[in-house]
Amino acid sequence: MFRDIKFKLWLSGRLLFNKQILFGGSAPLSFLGLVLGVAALVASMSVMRGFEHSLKQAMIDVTSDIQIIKKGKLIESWDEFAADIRKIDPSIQKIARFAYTEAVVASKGKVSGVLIQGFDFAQVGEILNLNSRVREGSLNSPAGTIAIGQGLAKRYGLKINDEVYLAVSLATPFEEDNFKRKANAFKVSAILDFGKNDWNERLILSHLPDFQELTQIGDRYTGAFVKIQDSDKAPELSHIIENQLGPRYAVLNWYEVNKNLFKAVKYESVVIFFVVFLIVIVAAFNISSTLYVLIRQRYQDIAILKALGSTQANIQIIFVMQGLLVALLGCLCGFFTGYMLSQGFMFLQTQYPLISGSVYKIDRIDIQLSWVDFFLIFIATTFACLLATYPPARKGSRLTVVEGLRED
Amino acid sequence: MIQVQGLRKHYITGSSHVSVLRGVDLNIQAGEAVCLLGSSGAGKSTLLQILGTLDRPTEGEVLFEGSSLFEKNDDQLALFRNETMGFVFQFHHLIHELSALENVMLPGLLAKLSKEETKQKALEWLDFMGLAERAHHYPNQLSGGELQRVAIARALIRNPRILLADEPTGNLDSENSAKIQGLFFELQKKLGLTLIVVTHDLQFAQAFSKIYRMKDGYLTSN
Repeated sequence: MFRDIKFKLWLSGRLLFNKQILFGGSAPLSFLGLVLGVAALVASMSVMRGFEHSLKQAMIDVTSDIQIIKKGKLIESWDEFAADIRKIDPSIQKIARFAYTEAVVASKGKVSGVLIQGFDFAQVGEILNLNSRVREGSLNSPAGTIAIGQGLAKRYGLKINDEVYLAVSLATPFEEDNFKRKANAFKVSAILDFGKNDWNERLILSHLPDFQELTQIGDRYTGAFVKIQDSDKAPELSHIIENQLGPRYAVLNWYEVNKNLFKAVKYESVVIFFVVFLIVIVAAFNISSTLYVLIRQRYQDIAILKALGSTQANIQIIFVMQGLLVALLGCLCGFFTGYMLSQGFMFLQTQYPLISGSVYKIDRIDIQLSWVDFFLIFIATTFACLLATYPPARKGSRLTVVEGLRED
Repeated sequence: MIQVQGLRKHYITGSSHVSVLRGVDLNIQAGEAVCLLGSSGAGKSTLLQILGTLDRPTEGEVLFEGSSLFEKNDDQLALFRNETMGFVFQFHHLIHELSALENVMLPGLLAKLSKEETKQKALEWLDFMGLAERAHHYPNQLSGGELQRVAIARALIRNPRILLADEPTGNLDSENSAKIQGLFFELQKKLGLTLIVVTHDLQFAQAFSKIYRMKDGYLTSN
């Protein structure tokens, strides 16, 4: 059985790979079409998957797997709160407190609204992955310093050690409708790429004591970052936490914050796959017509093989195997070309603003090449090629020996 | 060994009806060397193709050792050809993408024999044909006589009982033609083959023990 398959593969390969076919006629063009189709599939799938991955990673890096925010009043007793959270599920690995508020940043004559987040940089380092997002400076900085997004830095022309003012409005204790302004000066110690466009433009990270002093909230907190064992289980676990803590807490996770976007990417991936796969189908049709021509040129060889004892099924298998070989090679070359296209796209992103952050939330995509995508593309391409080669193979196999020998 | 009874073959081309064989009866004994002579279009190649199960008759029967060949289906006939018959054609019909050795190996590989065993046998046959050094040459690197000897080696690798040849010397010069003719009779004696050859070469025909002449679809013993 194996010996027979090996022989047929060998013969179909020998009949396929010859100078006449490789360097003449429509065969190379048909093959090129298939390679481009596969490459387009690989590139588009890696961009879509990369988009999903980049967004997910940005969310987890900057906001953790799950965020718990107390509605209304702030959290007063952190140790008690943290202990309660830890008890909820054993997959909760680490938690860290944070506080945030809307504020105004002023520097170099410019003013705009920002979101300041205060936390203990050392503690949060075990939960968030901010260090990998530092583009300039360092997060290991003294009190009185802040980390800003690269969008804000660019818009304000800010560099490391530049001074900015952060102003917050504080409600007066006696008249709730009255506010007083409080502003402190901070030095920029780090510029980060937060991964999401609005964060790069608006998010400012500060040390927790600085934040508490600026906003005058004392030893109180807005909420907690939670790190769990498996990030993909965050939606499930956040519902459990929400049920345990009750309505006074909002529990957010990386998926639900951008649920619509993640869903849209999933649906778009499927649609794009089928649209781009049309290129492969057209290429498969080209291969089919090329194989008709090649089989027409092989009438004598088919006749001889039959005269020597080959059955109709054997002939059919030999030519269908040619389709399989073309699909295999097309996939290999297409995977390589698609990989190179993806790398080219990655490079171009560093040179030109290809993606509008205001439209897509992120302004840079880390291409993701997935084995699942490779496998799906391989299966779909092979199936298309096998289907396309079946009719000419069947026609060739039905040729009679006498018809073939008449081709002298 | 082979009995042909009332063999007829008609072709319908458009509105015309062409009778190529008009009732052929023939008996061939095992080990005989039979020659089919005749002018072009007489039907000798069609008869050879039917004897070789490459084509089916319109009417009549071909019995091989008492059993009717054309009761078999196409796959059974393919197996029968592989095990029992060897073919040599006027234009060698070697596969251009394969070397001489690979061409000779084909019938063995089609029979699912091991590659090593088939290669060994193919090399022996090429050696017998005086082509051991040309084993790895491709058809476009071989002369007409060499090509035909490779084709004969291919026809013999499965140790057939019947060797059928259609104008095997028709495309060769006189020197190569004489060599190939000699080779056929040497093989017939050495292997006890039943030899059925179509030719229009009278000199070649005279060397056969039995000569049949085909004319207008009828066969006459000479």
